[in-house]
Formats: sequence, C-alpha cells, structure tokens
Amino acid sequence: MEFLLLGIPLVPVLAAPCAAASRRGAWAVALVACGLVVLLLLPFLPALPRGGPVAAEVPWFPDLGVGYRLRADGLGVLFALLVAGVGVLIVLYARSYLHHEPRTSTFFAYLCLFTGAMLGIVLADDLLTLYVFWEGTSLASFFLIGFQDDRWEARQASVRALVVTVLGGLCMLAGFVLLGLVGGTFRLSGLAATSVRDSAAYPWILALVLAGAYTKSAQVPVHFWLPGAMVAPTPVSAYLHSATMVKAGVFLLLRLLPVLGDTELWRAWVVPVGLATFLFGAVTAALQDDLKALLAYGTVSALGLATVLAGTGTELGRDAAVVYLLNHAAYKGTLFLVAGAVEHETGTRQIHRLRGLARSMPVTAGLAAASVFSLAGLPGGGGFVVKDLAAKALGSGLEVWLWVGAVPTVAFGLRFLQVFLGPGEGEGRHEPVGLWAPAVPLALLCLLLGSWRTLPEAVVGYLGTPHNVWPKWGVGKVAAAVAVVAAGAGAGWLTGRVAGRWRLGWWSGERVFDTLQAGLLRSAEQLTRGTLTGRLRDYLVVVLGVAAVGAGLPLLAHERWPTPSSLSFEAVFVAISTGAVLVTVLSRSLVAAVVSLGAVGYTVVFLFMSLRAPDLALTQMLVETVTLVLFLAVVTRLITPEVPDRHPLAGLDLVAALTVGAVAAGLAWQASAGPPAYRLAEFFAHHAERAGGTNLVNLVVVDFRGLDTLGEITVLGIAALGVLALARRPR
Amino acid sequence: MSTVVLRTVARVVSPLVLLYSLRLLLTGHEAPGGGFVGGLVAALAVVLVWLAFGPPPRARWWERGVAAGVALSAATGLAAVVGGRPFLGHVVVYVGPVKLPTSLFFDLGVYVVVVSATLAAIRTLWEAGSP
Repeated sequence: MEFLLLGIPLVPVLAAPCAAASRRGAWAVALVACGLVVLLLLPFLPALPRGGPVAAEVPWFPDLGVGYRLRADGLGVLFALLVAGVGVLIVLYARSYLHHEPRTSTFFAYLCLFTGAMLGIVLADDLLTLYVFWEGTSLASFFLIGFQDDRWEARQASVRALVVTVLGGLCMLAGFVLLGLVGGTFRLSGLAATSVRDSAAYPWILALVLAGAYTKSAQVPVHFWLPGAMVAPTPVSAYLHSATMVKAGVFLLLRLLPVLGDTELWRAWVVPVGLATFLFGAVTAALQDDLKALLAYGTVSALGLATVLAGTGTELGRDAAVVYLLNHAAYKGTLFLVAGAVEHETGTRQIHRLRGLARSMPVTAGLAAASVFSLAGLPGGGGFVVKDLAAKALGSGLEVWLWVGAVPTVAFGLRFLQVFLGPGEGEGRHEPVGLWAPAVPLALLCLLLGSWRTLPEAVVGYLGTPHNVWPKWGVGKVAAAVAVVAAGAGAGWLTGRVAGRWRLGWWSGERVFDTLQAGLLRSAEQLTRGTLTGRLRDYLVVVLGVAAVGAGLPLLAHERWPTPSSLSFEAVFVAISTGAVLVTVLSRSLVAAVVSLGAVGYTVVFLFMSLRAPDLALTQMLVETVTLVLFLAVVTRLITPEVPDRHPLAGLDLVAALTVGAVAAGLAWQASAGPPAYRLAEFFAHHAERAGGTNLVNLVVVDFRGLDTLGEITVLGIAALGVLALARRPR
Repeated sequence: MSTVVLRTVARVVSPLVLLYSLRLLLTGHEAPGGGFVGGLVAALAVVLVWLAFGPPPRARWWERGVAAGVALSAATGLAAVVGGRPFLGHVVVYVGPVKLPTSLFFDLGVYVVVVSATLAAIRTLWEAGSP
C-alpha cells in the first residue's frame, strides 16, 4: 500500500513524456494515466474508516527533516479522486474538442503533468513536498493558459496567472519554512497546533501561507488572473480553473486548519476576504455577457464562499467546504463543458447572440439545466444540501450573507440557461456525443449529492466524525429556496439588460498588473540603455572597478604590511617589465602595444623560473605566446585603427587603471606575508604516491583539485563558444 | 605570410611540436607539463600550419571538441562514482609494467578542451578578420 501511494502522483508525471512523444494516441495515454490513478486510489477508501490513513515517505533532505511524504487521509483521497476522476472526463472531452488542433500531444502532456502535480498537492504530507507540487501546478497552468501561443492575450494572461500565483507561492514557501521551524517538523500530520498558535511567529506564518492560498484560489483583489485564464481551451478552464487547481488554495486552508485554524486571527483574516470574494464574484458574474467569463467569476465567487467556510475554523465548516467544493466541481465542470460545446458548435460565447439552442442541442441543454438546478439550491440538487450545511456552519451571524450572495448566484446561473431558451434558430447545429457524454457523470454527481443521502454522508464520514448532514425538509426551507430563485430570476433579468456594456476598468486588477509590468519593463530598458554604452572600456572600468573595490576594501583593514625582502637579480626583470608597461601605455601603435605587453608576460616567465616553478613558467610562456599569436595574426586584422575617442590616460580610465594595479600589487604583497602553507604542501607530498606521480603541480590540477579544473575547463569551453557566437553574429 | 620558408618549416616542425605536446600530456605526472600546457602547445602547432597554408574551410570540429573534452573529464569523475569512490576520486592502475593513473584520462579531457577552445577562438576571429 505504501509503495502504491508513493507512485500515485508519479503515474501521470511519467505519462507526460509518453503523451508528448505519441502522435495520435496522446489522449489515450492521458486517459490511461488518469484512469489508472482512479483505480489505484480506490483501495485506500475502504481502509479509511478503519485504522489510520496510510502514509509513506522517501527521505529527501534527511538532515533537514524534509522528505517526499504522502499520506492518504480522507481529505486527500477525496480530492485525489476528484482530480483523477474529472481528469478522465476532461481527457475524453478534450479529444473531441481539440480534434482540429495541431499540437494535441503537447496539450495532453501538460495535462498529465498538471494531474500529477495536483495529486501531489492533495496527498502531500510534507510542507516542502506540497510546495514543489504546488508550483508544478502553477507551471502547468502557465503552459495551458498560453497554449494558443500565437495570441497576445493568451500569452499575457498566462504571464499574469504565473506571476500572481508564483509570487503567492513564494510567500507560502517562506511561511512553510517558518511553520516547519516553529513546529519542529516539516511533516504536516506531525505539526502540533498548540506550539504553533502560541508562538510569536504565528501571525507571520498565517499571513504568508494565506498569501499563497489566496493567490491560488483567486481571492479579491488578486482574483483577476482567473477570468483572464479563460483564453485557455475550454477543457483547461473546466479542469484547472474550476474543478481542481483553483481549489488548491482552499484545500490548503482545510489542510492547515488543525494547525493554524480556530483562532480569532484566523477568522479575522480569512472570513472577510472570502466574503468579499463571494459577493464580488457573484455580482460580477451576473453582469457578464461572455459565457466563460460568467462562469469564471462564478468560480471566483464559489471559491470565496469556500474560503469563508474554511474561515469558520470548525470541523463543521470544513465538512461544509468539502461538500461544497465537490458540488461546485460537479456543476461548474458541467457548465464549462456545456459552454465549450456551445462555442464549438456556434462559434461564439456571447450570450446576447445565442438563443434557443435547446432545440438543436437538447442533451446539452438538459445537462446545463441539471447543473443550474443544483447551483440554485433547489431541493433535490446538491446545492440544497450544501446551503443547509453552510448555513449551519456559518452560524446566525454570517448566514445572512449566504442568502445575499445566493441571489446574484442564481441570477448568473439563469442567465447561462438563457442561451437555450426562446425560439430556435441555427438549424443544422448538432451535438457530437464526445462533447456531452463526459459531462453526464458530473451532472449526475451534482444531482446525487442532493438526492441520495448516502453520498454526502459518506463524504463527511471519510473526513472525520460522521454526523447528520441531511437537511430536514420543510415547507419553510423549500419556500425560501424558491424565493431565492425568484429573486435571482429578477436580478438576472435586470443584469441581463446591462450585461456586456459594463466594464470593470481599474477594478479588474488586470490593468493594475499590466501597468506595473509595463513600468518595470520600461525602467529596466532605461537602466540597460544607461549602463550598456557599447564601449568596451566603459565595461572594463565597471568590471575592474568592482573587483578592485571588492578586493581592496578588505586589504585596507590589514595593519601589518611585511617589509619587502631585498631585491637581487629579480630587480632586473622588474625594471624590464616596468619599462614594457610604460611602452604599452604610451604607444599609439596597436602592434607595439601588444608586443610590449607580451614582453611583460615573458619577464614574468623568468621570474617564475628564478623562483623554481617550471610548471608555472611553462604555462605562462605558452599562454603569452598564444595570446600574442592571437593578437598579431588575428585581432590586428579585425580592429580598424581609429583615433580613440579619448586619450588612454584620460580621467576615469587612469584612476581605474591605477586603482586596479595598486590593489593587485597590495594583494601580492600581503600574500607574501602569509604563513607558508606547509601543512597543505605536506599533505600533497604525502599523498603524491597514491595519486601516481611526483609533479605536485599537475597532481593538484588533475587530482587533488580535480573539481576546480573541471569547472575551469567548462568555463573555458563556454568562453570559446561565446567567441563563436559573438563573431558569427550577422552584421 | 605564406612564404616558402614558413611552409617548409611548418611541414617539418609542426608534427614534432604535436608529438612534443603529447609528451607533455603523458609525462605531466612526473615532469613539468600536463593537459593544459600540452593543449596549448598542440594548438600552437596547428596555428603554425594555418599560418603557412591557410586555415581549413569552416568546420564545426572545434565546437564538438570542447564538448567532448568536458564530457570526457566529467566521465572520469562519474566512472569513479560507479566504482564506488567519490566523484573524481582517481586511482592508479598498473597495465603490466605501465603505471596508469586514471587521472590521466581526466587530463586528456583537459587537453582536448584546451586545444579545441583555443583553436575555435582563433579560427573564428581569423574568419571574422578576413575580408
């Protein structure tokens, strides 16, 4: 069982490259992967009520107590089943939906990657494991939103989504690290609530973790990426951006509820945000004219309500949130698939241009009606059970908002149905079975949640203590539900008259994001223009100046400077090289400068010889020779002799040159004062025999310090390739 | 530059210089030399031929050489891991009477990288400098 558990997220991840490699069978690979995961998950369900949940781990950073840990508890398995089960349906749907699309292999590969990452999130039992999978879903979402990458809107929307969710994710990572340090373990199920909640870091942890949850679950004011993500192909919208990924934020709240929840601070920070999102999303959804935008704001609203339920911090709130999220995944998934079918057949998503589709697409219309029935909270649909449960969880103080938000929710649901009503037009449209059959199980699920008592009770039973979740049917409740629907119908009629003409403007958040992004790019461009002058000597001044200051400042701290040893015959070489340096600097001829610079190098060869370092001398001589050849044979032909724009000894250049020279001299001077590295030399000499040689210099290069050399030759190779790239640049 | 004297000298000298570069590589463990120095000497031998006879038509050999050299050096390190030693942990083996430190193969990679990188750079700049 443990081994099975560890493999579950890896199945779709490993299927991804197979899907990418296969041409026509990519959908089948994805289907098999998702189906296999469902089958693998089923054995965990019966084990849940009896005994504890199965947990397994593979060490990752054992010293830090971080591992690849998974745990199949009720919450995790339920969500995992949701992810994989909806995945199966989405793959089937996408196969029909994308049949004219050229790059479906890539699409299904990303879908597989996403499924694997999402399964990892819901099953993770380690904070860092969770984080890695979390960012994995952000990445997969980025690629899927921008799937039609020839469109600017798709690319921009994917960037918005990525930046927002990854920024939140990074905050969350900081929160996780704090949480792990304060709680003493990174194992989620091992975190003790008391030690975390009483610590001084608790507000920080909470704020950082909430930042991750809110960005992922599109809470106000960072909700804007989710409606923008609707440029993705509809299967993606249905799967990632309504049924699964966006629920990860709420899932995280539920996951951490036992550790971080049930405090005043938790309620104060979670409930208002969720409430604002709930109401804002519902009202905005009712005002949309685009079918998918309407559903997207509806999703924002639903995530808001789920956040409020999690914000109550109670077990009842958690149960209500889970049942609600399941119901939402079912009805919203169906509606998205319906919207996709409508767009696929009619070529538009504008509500005001669609009418009477029920005649040509009867099954699709029936599915839409079933899910709106559940959404509206009418008795018999999942919404009725959820609303009752939510009202209980929220308590009298918050319950009123539930009814306030229900009116615009019903309104947008009915406006969605509007496209099927009225006199039929558009003859010749039909509904391919591949575009409605995958929605049938989802529509059934949202109806069964409200009519088959065992289902919601089983769900709650898996989460923890089973209790009575079935609402007591009464005339009052049914009348209230009908009244809400009536009010929603009125509101829908009103909003339908202004829909589409109403723009969010600055309130959409997209514009704020785009303005910030444009400002960042503009300032980066200005900075680049200001610093990149295109003149090598300017760059040299900067590079060498930084090096000189960096190495020179510690040098100033030295108090003891060794007295120079008396110069004997080395003085001759020093004099020669000083003269050669002067010639290099003062000469106006490039060739003379190069040759005299070579002379400086060759005098250093003699210095090395006099210090009995033949290896260094040999290397120095060869490097000098190759440089000289390179210059004389090649570079002099490259450079057109021109009058320099300023004298070599002018101003800043002179200061920079003298500073660099002084620092280099100072470093050499100080180095000569250090204690002789006898111990190191002894170590090398002692082990030379085992390294198989007597030339210590070479042994150090190839054996004792082999890793350094490997790095150096890599750098050398990169530098050579850089020369290639620069010189072959088209002119 | 391509005079008769230069061509004659190049024809005789460059093979000898190449041989000398191999000697530097192989005796590096015992005497001054090694892969880096040997590589530079070999590169100079090739440049001498180019100076005398002109560079060969454009080839991608040198770029591949860079990659092959780095790969060879890294592979010796990985071979050590496979053999149960730390990365780049070398040993000395005896093939009959010949002492053969595995670090010699590492040094061979260095040699290949230095030859290839030097020649790639010179060759490219040479081409860029030609009208």
